[in-house]
Amino acid sequence: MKAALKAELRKLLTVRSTYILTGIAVLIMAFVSFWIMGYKYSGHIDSNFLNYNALQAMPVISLFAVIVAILLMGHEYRHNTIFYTLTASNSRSKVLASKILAVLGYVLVLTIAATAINLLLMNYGHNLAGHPLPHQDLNLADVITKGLFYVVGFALAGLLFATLIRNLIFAIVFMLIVPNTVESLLTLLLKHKAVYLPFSALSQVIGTQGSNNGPLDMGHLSPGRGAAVFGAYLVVGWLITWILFLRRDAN
Amino acid sequence: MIEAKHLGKTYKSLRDKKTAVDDISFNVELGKVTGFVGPNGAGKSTTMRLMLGLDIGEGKTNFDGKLLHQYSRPSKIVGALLEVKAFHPTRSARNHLKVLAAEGNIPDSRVAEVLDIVGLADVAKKGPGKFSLGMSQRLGIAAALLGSPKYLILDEPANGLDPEGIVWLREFIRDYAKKGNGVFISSHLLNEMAQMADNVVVIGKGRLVTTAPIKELLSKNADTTVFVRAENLAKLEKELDGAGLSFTKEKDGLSVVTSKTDAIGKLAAKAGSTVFELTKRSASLEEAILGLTEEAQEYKAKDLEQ
Repeated sequence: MKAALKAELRKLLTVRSTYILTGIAVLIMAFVSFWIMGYKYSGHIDSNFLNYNALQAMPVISLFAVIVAILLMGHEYRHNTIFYTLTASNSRSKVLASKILAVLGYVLVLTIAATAINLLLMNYGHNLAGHPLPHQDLNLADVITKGLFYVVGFALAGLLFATLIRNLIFAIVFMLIVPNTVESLLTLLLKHKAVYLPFSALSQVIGTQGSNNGPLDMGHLSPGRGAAVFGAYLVVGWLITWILFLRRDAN
Repeated sequence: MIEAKHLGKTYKSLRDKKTAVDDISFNVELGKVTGFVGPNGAGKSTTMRLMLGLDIGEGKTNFDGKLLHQYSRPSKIVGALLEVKAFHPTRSARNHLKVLAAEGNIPDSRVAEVLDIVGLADVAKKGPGKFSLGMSQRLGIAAALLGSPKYLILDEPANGLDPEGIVWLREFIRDYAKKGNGVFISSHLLNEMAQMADNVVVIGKGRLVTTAPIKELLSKNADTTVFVRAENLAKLEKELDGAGLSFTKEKDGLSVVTSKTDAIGKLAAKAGSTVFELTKRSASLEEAILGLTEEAQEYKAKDLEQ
């Protein structure tokens, strides 16, 4: 297991795409937090400003994290390296578990680093503009817990689809379209029950979407219930994926 | 010894099912090179994937009495080359092998050694995406050698290699087997196979055609002939008939099924026929395999009509 995990981390760290995607994520985060939410910000500011905006940044981080997760599995099938990976290991479960752990490790580092940059640059931007933030009730544990759950959930969903579909491009397109476009369209049909759709439930964890009484009123769940609903989808999805990974031909 | 027992694979779709490998059993002995031959689409690659547990099918393959996944470090038991371009194009050759070394719990120092063995040390830092087919094959062979495995399973390793590379591969594989290891190798280059392999496994349309030592296969399935170019071929033909020798007419001579040139010379003298050429033609593996798999060819090309 240790060998498989070491190999997965090497796979992550020896391709350019990991650095490019991480770099873009950090740059966007830095620009938005310093310039838009910091230096140029002119909206209402209360004591919850940093908490709220730190969580609002999670969908941006998750977008890049999910692509890195998909690439970790998708490259195996795209470049046929899966046959090396599976013949070197004596257990397919070890291979899958080590991929999940590698993604968790990457997401942990990316989310914490991006959140730190986000918080620091928002603060710095306001200071530089000459209107320092008022006293903030920053709950770092809450931000990190909810943020990590959101990004980890998104990344693991991406890894799941890449493992299930075994087509890199299709998995990326799927993860870019389904959470926003498809679930938004389904909201028109399901109304407030749409909050029980997987990614709508996940968004409740960081409170980025909720009841707004408009045409896309998807209802509302507490962060805990949102996490439970999404978690249930993820567990069932991974059970099916895991069984198929053990039983399918490696191609 | 590798013992492949009753390997089978059927692909099912909504419309039909196709048997790619049908109850194939054979052994790969230590200290020997076992060739694996058959026409395109015969099921060679699928058989190799079944042996390694990559495809899920029927039967089992024991490596020294145990299934591959029963070993804690499978890379020490078997090294495989199944796909030529099985690498990330921008991950350097060295990093590609380092990833594989980590997977097999093999020290990183081995990476430099195998790169040196296959002659890719100078391009170790380059991404293999721009490697030629031959260089890609060498990288694949390096990957197979990483764990210094007891067995090598190589699918068409000579494809894309230049003549020098083919000679290197032949000598390398023979040496590897001589050291007490087992090599199972498929190739379309049958003349190369004849020089390399001790035993041969022949399959066609997913079924085992034969498995035998290569010398036995040649003696049983292909004829050694003597080509004779001479005057008065009609008289010579009568003498050959009289001696009970079968022959076929060629453009400017006769091809007689025998290995004895002296006998043909004497018959020609008896017929009063002046001999211009008398050449012994040894049976080739190509002839033997073509003869054995003639009925088992899935994809046959048509002759171009003049």
